Amino acid sequence: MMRWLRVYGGVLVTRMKSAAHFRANVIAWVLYSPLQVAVIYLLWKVIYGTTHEVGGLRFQEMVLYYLVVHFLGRAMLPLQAVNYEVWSEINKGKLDVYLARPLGFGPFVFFRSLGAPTLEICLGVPFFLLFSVLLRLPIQTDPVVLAAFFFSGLLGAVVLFLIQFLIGTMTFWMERIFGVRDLVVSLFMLFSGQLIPISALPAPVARISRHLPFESIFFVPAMIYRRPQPDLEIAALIAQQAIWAAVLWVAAAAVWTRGVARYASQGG
Amino acid sequence: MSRRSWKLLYRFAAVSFRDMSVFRTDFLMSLLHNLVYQGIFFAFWKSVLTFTASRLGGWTFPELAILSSFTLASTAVAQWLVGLLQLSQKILEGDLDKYLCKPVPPLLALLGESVNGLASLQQLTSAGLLLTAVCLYYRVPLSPGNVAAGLLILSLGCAALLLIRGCIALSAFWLGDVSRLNGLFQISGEFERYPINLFPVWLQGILTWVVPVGLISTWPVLAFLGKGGSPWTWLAIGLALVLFWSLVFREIWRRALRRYESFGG
Repeated sequence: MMRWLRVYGGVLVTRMKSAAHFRANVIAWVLYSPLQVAVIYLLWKVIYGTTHEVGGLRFQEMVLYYLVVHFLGRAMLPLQAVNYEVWSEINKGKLDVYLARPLGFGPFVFFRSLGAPTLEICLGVPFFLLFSVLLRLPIQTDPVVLAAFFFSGLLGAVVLFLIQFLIGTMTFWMERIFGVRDLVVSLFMLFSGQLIPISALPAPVARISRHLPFESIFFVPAMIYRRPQPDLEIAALIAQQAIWAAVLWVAAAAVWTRGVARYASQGG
Repeated sequence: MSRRSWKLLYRFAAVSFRDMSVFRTDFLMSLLHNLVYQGIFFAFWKSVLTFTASRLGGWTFPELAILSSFTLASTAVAQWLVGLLQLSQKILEGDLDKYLCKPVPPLLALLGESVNGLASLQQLTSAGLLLTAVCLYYRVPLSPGNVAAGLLILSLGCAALLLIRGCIALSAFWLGDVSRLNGLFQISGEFERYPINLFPVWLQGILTWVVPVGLISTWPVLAFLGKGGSPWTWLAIGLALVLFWSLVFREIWRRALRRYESFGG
């Protein structure tokens, strides 16, 4: 276990250092959130000028929802590049290097992609609290709900990673995967609750969403964060995420096993 | 630009065309993606308007749908100059050598190599289809003059934005990795999805003069619809910004090339 942690932990730390290397990038990082939160705040202020409630959420609740989704989105953004990384390793014949090493390609890519998110979370939490205070939003203080929220966020990241990994492994059959990726990203935007809460979507669209894994990524953690106290609803939401993570893990493992059997590289 | 340079650009575009269309499934998926992506924003506006008595600050659903189509059209135009956005990565990796040692203008070769001709065509087709469908279905009244003004403002806005992003990319010669700085600029672009005339006046000013996303969405759409006063103001602002940023870009490029060095280059 220690050896396993040392290997993958080393990969994670290297990525964190790489992400924080350039100063201009760090400054841009600091300015990024205020800008995006401002866009969301101003837009919804205009919308709530004509209504009191959207999808069962009042203005403050809507801003809190988007704030949570924004910071989850920032933390998980680097995971969206996983499909490209997997495509690149397979398509350029670089997979040999990983297959010849005593490590699993899937866990390696997972921990490599966690470097930047870990940094985002470390820097993002103080910003999240600052925005909550500035915008007079309620801050969740219940330790059980907070723990459930972090666990739910982690499960959301796993679901997103597995979706991206699955798209990447399609390279074994399709050579170019970007059309599928873009299509999935579009659906993801709508059904994950990133663009608008699922509860505000028209009823037929919201019904479709319940049968897809995307709402596990943003909508479910954001809903857990705003719960006043621990209840069965939280457990049900986490169970829903865990089931999707398990289903996607089995699918990714099956596709990987079949795909690797097809893999061939020049000189490999 | 000389005839030879145009020929080179044309050939690069043709290569990109073949490069992308050879994978047919991916090609069809990309086409589908463009339509679905716009459909998602239509769903967003439909959801919002359900709660706001079918209007948002004077904007109706067909007008908001036209705004989304214009955003897609601006992305299509950007595909022709996508090389500007990849410039910082090429500088960091020392890949500029291959352009500098060729007997063609290096910037042209760099831009030409990255042209996404097919993606641009796909997006323009999707935007055109959606725009036509919305205008016909909702019987949006249009005049040729307004359509021309809207499209011209859109083109100038795209050029201004790309030149600004090109300048940011060139700053990589001094600052190193500026991908997040460019990303920050891209975030400001989130305003393009929404009608900026709904926001406070000071913000409208910033989004027209500093980060001119208004020139690729709200203002050209209003000109297209024949609303929001004379389009000449927006045309003049667009032209002024393109001229200003062209001069800035040329100057930075000239200075940057003097700084450039690569291992073994």
